[in-house]
Amino acid sequence: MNNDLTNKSENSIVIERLSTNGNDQNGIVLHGKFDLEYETSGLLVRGSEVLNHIILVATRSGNYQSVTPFKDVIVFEDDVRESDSGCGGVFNINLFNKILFDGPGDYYILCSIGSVTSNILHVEHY
Amino acid sequence: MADKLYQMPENCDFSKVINADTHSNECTPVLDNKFFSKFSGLLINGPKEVVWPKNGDPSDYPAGPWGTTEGPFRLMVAGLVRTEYKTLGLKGEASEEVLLVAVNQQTAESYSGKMPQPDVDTEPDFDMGLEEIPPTDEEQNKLLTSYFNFDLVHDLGLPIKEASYNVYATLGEMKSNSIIINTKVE
Repeated sequence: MNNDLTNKSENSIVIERLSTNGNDQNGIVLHGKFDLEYETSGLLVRGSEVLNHIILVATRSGNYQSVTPFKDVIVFEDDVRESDSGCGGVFNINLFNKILFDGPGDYYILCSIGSVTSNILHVEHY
Repeated sequence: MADKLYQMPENCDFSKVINADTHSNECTPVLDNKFFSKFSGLLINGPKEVVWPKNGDPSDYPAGPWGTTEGPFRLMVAGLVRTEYKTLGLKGEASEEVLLVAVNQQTAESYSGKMPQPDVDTEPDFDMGLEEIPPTDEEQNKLLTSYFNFDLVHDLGLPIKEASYNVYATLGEMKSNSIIINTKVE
């Protein structure tokens, strides 16, 4: 991953589903990547603390939940690359380890950090 | 420069907004054209700041059977969702499926919820024995607007304390603008 924040003028969070090679036994594993400017992203924390401020939102039919997946997780300074103006990093989340519902259905998943929201990932999990 | 497809009302009175109401009000985002706007997606509008009293408890002001809320412990957000008739099989009636999310900027605690459903027995539809006519392809793609109004205290369980929240809404593959709301207790 390129964490070079030089000349980055936009905030971004992108999430995608990690390939399971057709084996859905492992559930839904997400890979996320973010690049954020402190000044414009609505963040009140800096550096590796940013990981503790990732919000995961998942919906499936009538079920929904928002959680802070790394709230009680020890993060290391190396997990986030920091510059004077912002930071960047990557993360992985096993969805069913973080939310209280599972099973087959259409899942809509997004992450946010500060005032920046990711793309919405639609996963057909059957 | 292209014209904006919507406007956000400023300086409107959010205390007049009714929780769980599916009509627009003076704080609802305004589309450039109510019926023929090309806008598609979610929009929310909220106050920059609310002040709650130091004394009292939100549980002293329970929601009414239709979800309406009263009293000093409210935080209202007004919004609209404009989707194609066919989206998520909702036939354009999407407001009750919108998920609102509020995130405390200091602690990263998150709160989410949907508009409350009426807690009353409704009259069953009178069965005329008529079959529903399936919509045409043109009707399936037609954009329809529905409105939603949330009380973040009652619907999301926001605590009565000073904080700053990032608030956004999501439905299916759509997400709204993000707004920041500061709460104070005095």
